[in-house]
Amino acid sequence: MSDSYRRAHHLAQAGRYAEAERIVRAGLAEEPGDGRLLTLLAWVLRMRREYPAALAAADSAVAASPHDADAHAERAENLILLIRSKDAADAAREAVRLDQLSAPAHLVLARALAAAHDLAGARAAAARGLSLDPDSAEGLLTVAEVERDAGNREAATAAARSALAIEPESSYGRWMIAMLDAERLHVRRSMRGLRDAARISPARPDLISMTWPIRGVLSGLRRGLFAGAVLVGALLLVGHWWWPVAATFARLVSGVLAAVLTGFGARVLLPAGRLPWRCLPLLPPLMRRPTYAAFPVLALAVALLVVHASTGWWPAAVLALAMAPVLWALSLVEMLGAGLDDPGIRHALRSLAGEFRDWWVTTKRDLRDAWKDDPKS
Amino acid sequence: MSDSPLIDSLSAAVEARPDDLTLRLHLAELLVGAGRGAEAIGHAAQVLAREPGNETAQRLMSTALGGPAAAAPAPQAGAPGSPQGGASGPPPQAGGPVPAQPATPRGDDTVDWAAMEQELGDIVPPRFAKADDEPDPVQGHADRTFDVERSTITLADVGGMQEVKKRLEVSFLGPLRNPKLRSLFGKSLRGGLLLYGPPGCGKTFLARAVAGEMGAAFISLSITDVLNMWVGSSERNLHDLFQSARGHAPCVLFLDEIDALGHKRSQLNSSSMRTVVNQLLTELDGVDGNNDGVFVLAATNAPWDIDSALRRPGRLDRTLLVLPPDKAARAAILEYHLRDRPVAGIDLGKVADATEHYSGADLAHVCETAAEFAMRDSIATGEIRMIAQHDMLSAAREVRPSTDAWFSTARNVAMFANESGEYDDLAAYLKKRKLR
Repeated sequence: MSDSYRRAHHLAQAGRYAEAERIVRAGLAEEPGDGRLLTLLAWVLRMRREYPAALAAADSAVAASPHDADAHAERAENLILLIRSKDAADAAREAVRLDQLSAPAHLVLARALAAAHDLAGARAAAARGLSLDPDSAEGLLTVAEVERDAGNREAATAAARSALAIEPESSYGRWMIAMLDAERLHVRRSMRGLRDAARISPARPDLISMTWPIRGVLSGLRRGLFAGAVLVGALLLVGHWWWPVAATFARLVSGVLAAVLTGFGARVLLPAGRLPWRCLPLLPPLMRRPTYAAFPVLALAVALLVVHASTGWWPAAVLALAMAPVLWALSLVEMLGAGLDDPGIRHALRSLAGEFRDWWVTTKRDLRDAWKDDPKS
Repeated sequence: MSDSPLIDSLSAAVEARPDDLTLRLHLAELLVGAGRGAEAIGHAAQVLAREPGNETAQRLMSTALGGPAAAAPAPQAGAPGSPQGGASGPPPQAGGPVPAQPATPRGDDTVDWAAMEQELGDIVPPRFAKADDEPDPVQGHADRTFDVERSTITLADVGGMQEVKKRLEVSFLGPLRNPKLRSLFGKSLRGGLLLYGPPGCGKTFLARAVAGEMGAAFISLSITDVLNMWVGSSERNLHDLFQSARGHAPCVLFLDEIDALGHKRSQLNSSSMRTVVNQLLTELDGVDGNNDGVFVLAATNAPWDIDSALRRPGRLDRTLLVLPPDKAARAAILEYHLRDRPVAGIDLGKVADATEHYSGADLAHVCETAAEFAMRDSIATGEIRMIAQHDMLSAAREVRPSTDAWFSTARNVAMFANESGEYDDLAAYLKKRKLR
C-alpha cells in the first residue's frame, strides 16, 4: 500500500475529499498505472458527486487492474448512479466472479440488480453478501433497500433496524426507516427520523426527502382531483343528457371530494410541522417554484368544487377539472428539477439528449441523401 | 543586513518611527539610489497611502517601478557597494513609455553578492540580540509537530474582531490572568477552546495571538502532521506531542484542523484512525500526564464532524465562532496587503464596505487582483500607474467571497444540529444575515 494511498484514504474517511483527491492525483503522477490509487480516486470523486469523472477513473482502474474485484465493484457503483443499471450489473457480476468471497461485491451486485428491476436476483445477491459478513450494517441496509424496492416494508424496516442496532449513528439507516414510515403515512415519526438523520450528518442533509409531506400531499391531491373531477364531469354529462338526478350526485361528489382533499392535506401537513416548510425554500428553484405554484392552483380547484357543491353551478366543476392538467404540468417541471439536481440523472439526460442529437443528424443526412438519390427530383 | 550602513541605520530609524514620512522618503531615495527599487516601493507606497499627492513619493515610486536608479536624482547613486555601481544603460525618455525592468538588484559578472553575503554572514554580528532560550520562529512548511515557537503577536495585532476578542478575554484569558479570582469562584483551568468558522478568517492567527497574549510557548499541529500521525505509530506520536507541550509549560498547544484528527468515530472505518481519536481523548484528560500549564486550542471549519466526546467538559468545552472580519478588520487587512504595493488614493473604508462577508484570504486575493489590473494597464499603455480605488472596487466585484459555501453548510447545521444550543451564536449570525 503506497503512502499516497494511505494518506488519501485517511483524508477521505475524515470527509476531506478535496485534499484526498489532491494527494491521489499527486500519487498518480508518480505511478499512473496504480489500479488501487485509481479505484480510490473513483471513490473520492463519487463522494464528491462527480459521477462521470468517477466513472472515467473507475474505467482506468479496471484497465490498469483487470483482475481487481474492487475496481469492478467501484465501476458498478458509479454506473448505478449514472442510471446505467444493466452495465452496472455486468460490472458487479465481474467483481463477484473475481472475488466470490467479497461481501461488498455481492452487495453492489444486489444494488445493481435492484436498479435493473431484477428483484429476485437482487434479493439473492444481498442475502449472499450478508451471509459472508453478517455483522455488516452496509449488508443489512442493502437488504433493506432491496426489500423496500420489492414493496416488503416490514422486512425492509426489520433489516434497517438491525443495521441501526449495529451502527446507531448511521444516517442512511435512519433515513431508510423514516422513508418507510413516510410510505405508511406515519408522518410525525418519519419527520423525526429525517431530523435525526440530518442531525447526524448536518452538513449533508437530504432536503428533498424532508419536503416529502408537501410534495406527497400535492401528488395525492393531484391524483385525487383528477379522478374526482373526471367523475364529476361524467356525472354532469349524464345529468345533462340522460338522467337529471345525476347532476345532484355530481354536486354531492364535488362536496365529498373537496372535503377529502382538504382532510388529506391536513392529515399529512399538520403532523409534519414546520420542518418541510423550512426546507422548501432550500430546494433547487426548478423544484421549489412549481411546488409553490401548485398550492394556489389546488386551493382554487377545491374552492371551485365547493362552489359547485353548494350552488350547483356546473362551470365551476368544469373549471376545477381544467386545473388537473395544470397540476400535472407543474409536477412534470418539479420532476425535471429533481432530476437535474441529481448529477447522475443530469448526466443520463445529457447523454440521452446527445444520442437524440446524433440520431437526428444521421436521420437528416439520410433523408437528404435519399432526396438527392430520388430519380424524380 | 544590508551593504550600506546609512541605509541600515535609516531603516532602523524608520522601523522605530514608522509615521515619520520625511524619514521614510529619505530612505526610499537612498534605496532607489542604491538600485534597491523593490525595497523603495514599499516605503513610497506607505507615504502615498497617507499623502496621495506627495510629488516626491510619486516620483520615487515611478523611478522605483521604472527601473534604473539613474532616472532619480539619487544622492547615493554611485555609492560604494551599490549593486548597480552607478547607472548603466540609458535613462528613460521624458514623457515616453517607461520600459518595465526588474527593480531588484542584479548581480554582475564580477561580484557574486549572494556568495559574499553568505561569506560575511558569520563575521558580521546580527543587529539584534536574541534570548538564549528563544527558538527560531517556524516558517512555512517547516511548521512541524514538535517545533516550539514563542509567539510575538498579541490580540492587539488582530485588527477589528472586537466581539471575538471580548469573548476570548471573558472565557479564556480572564480566568487565566486572575488565579485568585479563579480559585475564589472555584473555576478550573481544565478544558480547551475550540475556534470554528469559515476558512481563511484568521483562526490560526488568533490562536497565535492568544499564545502571545499569555506569553506562553506555542506548539502547533497542522494537517500535514496529522497525516504523519496516521501513517506512523499514531498513539506514540500524539503522546510525544503532548509530552513536549507539558515540557514547555506554560504552553499553548494548537491543534489545527481538529476535525481531521478527532473525526466522529462512528464515521471512521479505519481502526488506526479511531485509535488516534481515543489517544487524543486520553491526552486531553491528562490521565497519563499532568496537563497543568498546557492550554489546548483547536481550530476547525467543520465542528459538526468532530467526535462529540472531544467536546465534553474538561476537553474542548468552550467554543468560539470566528466570523469573517468586520469592517475595521477588513480595512486593516486590506492596508496590510497593500503595504508594499504602489497605491494612490485608496479609500479603505469604501473598499471595506464593498467586501462584506469576505474572508481574510479573500481580501488578500482582492489586493492581488487589483495589483494585476494596475499592472495589466501599465503594460498595455506603457505608462506605469499606481493601484487606484477603481482597481480595488473592480477586484472586489470580480472576487467572490469564498465563505458562501461554508455558510450554506452552516445554515443546515444551525437548522438540524443545534438542539443543545451549541451553535446558538452561529444561528444568531445567520439570522442577522437573513440566511435562515
